Amino acid sequence: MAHFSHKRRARRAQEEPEDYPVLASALNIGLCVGLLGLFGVLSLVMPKPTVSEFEKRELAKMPEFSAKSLFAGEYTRDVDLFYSDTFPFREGLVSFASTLDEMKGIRMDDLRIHSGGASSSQSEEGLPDILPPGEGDESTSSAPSVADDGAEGEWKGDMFIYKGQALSAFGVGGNMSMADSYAATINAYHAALGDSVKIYNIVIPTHVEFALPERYQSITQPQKPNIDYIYGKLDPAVTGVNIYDTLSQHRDEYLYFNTDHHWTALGAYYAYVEFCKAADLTPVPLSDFTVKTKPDFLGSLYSQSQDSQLRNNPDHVDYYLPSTPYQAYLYQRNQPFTPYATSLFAEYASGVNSYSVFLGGDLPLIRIDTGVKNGRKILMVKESFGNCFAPFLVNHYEQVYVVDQRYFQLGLVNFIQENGINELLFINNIFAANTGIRIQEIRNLMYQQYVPYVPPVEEPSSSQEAPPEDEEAMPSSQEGGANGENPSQEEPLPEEEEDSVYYDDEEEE
Amino acid sequence: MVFANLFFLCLFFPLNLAFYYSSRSLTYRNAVLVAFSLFFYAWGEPVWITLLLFSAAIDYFHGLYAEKYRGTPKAKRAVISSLVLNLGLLGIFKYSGFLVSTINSLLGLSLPVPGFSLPIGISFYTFQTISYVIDVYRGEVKAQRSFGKFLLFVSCYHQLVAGPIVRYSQVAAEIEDRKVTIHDFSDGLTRFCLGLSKKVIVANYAGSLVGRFMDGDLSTLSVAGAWYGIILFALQIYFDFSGYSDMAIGLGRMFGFHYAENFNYPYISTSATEFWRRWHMSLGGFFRDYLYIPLGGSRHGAARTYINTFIVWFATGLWHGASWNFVLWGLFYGFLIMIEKAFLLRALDRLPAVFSHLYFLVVMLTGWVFFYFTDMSRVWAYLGVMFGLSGNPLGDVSTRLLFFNNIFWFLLAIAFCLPLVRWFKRYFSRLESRKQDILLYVQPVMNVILLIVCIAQLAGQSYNPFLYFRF
Repeated sequence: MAHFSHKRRARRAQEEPEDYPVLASALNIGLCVGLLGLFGVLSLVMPKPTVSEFEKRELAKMPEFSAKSLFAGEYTRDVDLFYSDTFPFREGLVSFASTLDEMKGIRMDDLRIHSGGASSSQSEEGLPDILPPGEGDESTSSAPSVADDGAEGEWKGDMFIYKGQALSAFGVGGNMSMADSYAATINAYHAALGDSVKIYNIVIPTHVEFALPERYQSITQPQKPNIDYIYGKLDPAVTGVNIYDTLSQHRDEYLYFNTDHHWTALGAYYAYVEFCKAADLTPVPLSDFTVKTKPDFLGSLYSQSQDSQLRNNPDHVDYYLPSTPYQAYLYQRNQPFTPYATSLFAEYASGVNSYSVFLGGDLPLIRIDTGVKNGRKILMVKESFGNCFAPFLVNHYEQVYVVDQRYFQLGLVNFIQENGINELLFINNIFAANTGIRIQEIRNLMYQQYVPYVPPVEEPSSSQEAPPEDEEAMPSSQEGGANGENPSQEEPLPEEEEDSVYYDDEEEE
Repeated sequence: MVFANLFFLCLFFPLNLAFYYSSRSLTYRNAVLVAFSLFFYAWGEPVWITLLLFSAAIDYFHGLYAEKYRGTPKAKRAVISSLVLNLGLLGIFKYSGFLVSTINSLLGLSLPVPGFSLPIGISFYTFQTISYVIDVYRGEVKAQRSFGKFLLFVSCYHQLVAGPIVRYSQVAAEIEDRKVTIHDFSDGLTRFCLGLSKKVIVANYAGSLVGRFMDGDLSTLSVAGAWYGIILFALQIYFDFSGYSDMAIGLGRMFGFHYAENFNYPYISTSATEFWRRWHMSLGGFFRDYLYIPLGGSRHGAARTYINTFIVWFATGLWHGASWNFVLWGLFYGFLIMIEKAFLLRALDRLPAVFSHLYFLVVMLTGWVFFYFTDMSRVWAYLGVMFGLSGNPLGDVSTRLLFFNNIFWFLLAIAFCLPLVRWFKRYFSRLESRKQDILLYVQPVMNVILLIVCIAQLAGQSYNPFLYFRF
């Protein structure tokens, strides 16, 4: 189809030049250049968004110009990123692209592999003179890819969409070094705290483990051997709570979201029942809770894949309000000694953020005081899977401390001893338990020193120095800013106040 | 900057056209092109643009000198000096790290390995300027007296970063005077849209799938997965490279330049020999005219022919990258071409054509394995899987799923390796002119659709949901 008027032109140019279809060529030029130019003009005049609600992240900003960044090639690269990140109608174009993507083939048995968009860096290297190095247009991704965490790139971010369920494949390729390291980390806490603190550990299997029929089992690796391996490596004084069997028994129930990577509160409830057995507690029957529901939840895996099957099969988030009275306090990042009254359920959460109904998202620390009087105090160390588990504990402990291993800033061993905490629960999903950076975070918690955050001082002479705090500590604030999950920085409020005022950056429904 | 990029497509390119066509003065237009080209280059290489200017200046003066003293030993010295300087720059920036680490590993030394970053396009523009000085020396072209016009030849952004390798003789007349008709422009635009689509719709997507097979754990890769992976890589590299060439040729036509074709449906070849007449033709032509023939070609007996062939293919491989796997890849083709010449082509000719095609496809895919992995141990491991020597399973569920999930795209990509466009043109030229006119009006619609699809895909590349949930 390329310039298919060649021959004809040659022929006609000799014979009947006046018949030449000028209009067709003019139309071609006008439409194509016009389209590009129109996008160009719009990209200059339209207001530039700073946040993508849909992707839950801040968009790239126009970089500040400096000779140093220009000569390092950073400036132009960042302008490129800014330009494509804030391109006119970007979200519409992205969803159009994903619609096209689904037309590339057929789904066998409703199963589709969604390529996480992660392109290989090696293929770029393989084309040294075809693509200018470092100019590869696929390299704009700055997602916190899990490949950088020492897990040797085994996490391919593969997602399988099967019968309206998005499933992330698990795979460690028989490499148990992360599992060893995870167990050793938990054991180190026992060594540090001694027998005065009872330690429990839960590794949560994920959706893919229970969702696939026999013939598709080979696209993921079984999780049970990995969990059993971790539990086998735990110190005998550490109790590994087996929740696998109960989840497996209830696999036909709504234990996991279909469009999000988390488990549901129902899944967490079954885990809680097993935990109670291990901790010598009597679980509260599900019927004693007040059930509430957030409808129309399209979660993270939908955001990632934009798959139409998922769009047509949205989740709902059930949450169970305990009948026991309690008072919860949250501690924000960089204010580890300042409690703010909060609720365990952020009722305002909706839409793509519905999972944030549990604990209001990922906060460094939440302390819950209850009316229970039994001398038991528990601290749980969790990533986001723990959020929907935590509220069940208020029925059984005087105090429950919920620590997010990613954002907590105090030394945990000291913290436990100073607060007279006598039980410690580690709860991680199996991906986290096999990811180097998560394990490292748990290990770092033990004796870390809190360094108060000092905003970088603007000095005209010295250019962009790193802020005094470690960079990777910052995602929480970024995430919160985009999600409205974290409360904005405000004055401490009287402890009786409702939590929702913290979230005034969130649109109320 | 690259072509398949929103900033280029929606700002740089329209602005370049607007400035260029705002005056009829050739001097002005040349100045606009040079200014935009330098900006284009500096966008990706804010530092090494100095090198480009330096290289252009060197060869500008060498050209003048070689012309002035043409036919005397001084002219020859000019050529040698130009070669030393150009290849020296290439050697320092592209090959010094490779050379030192090779010496280190051979002699057990630990000399510091220089870590120059490769300036974009240096392999292309040094070859262009080398050909210029040699052509002037040979009396095939007149030296360019205006440095501005010479800089236009060297820096023109159409082919600066990814070829084709344009020789000065091809564009000498057009630098002095060129006309663009509305039909030229329209044809160039269509060519550009097709090239962009090849890059964005096929090459980029194939590239996103390749790593799943080729960068993973080779011990669990299935045989079918290995073949599918290398076929995807073959598609990626062809559509990427030829897409860039199409865009360059298309851009050239919009500004009045006619660059030579660089690809001629290489995957329909029946032998390695034929492949290299169809693949990256401007590079093959360069090595033929400036290396193989000056070495004596095939006119000095069998032994010299083999040596010359070896040198050419060593150089061809090395040109593609500073690593031994590229050298091996080049020698692999040199070897094949020698045995094809010796007896294989005659043998294949006696068989039905399907065998020749099969033979070619297998060796071509094998070649890409060398090309892909810089780590030789992975080359052998991957070939082992492909040819069933590793005892890996024949197939696996996820390859099957991925194949069917992308089957329409895949078949379309394969189809466009065939001369579909050429067949269509032939069909078109036989139509009566009323039908031709209708199809000519379909062309803009097709282009607009392709552009929108490409823009959507490019916007999607920065789509990057914040994966906080991965903990």
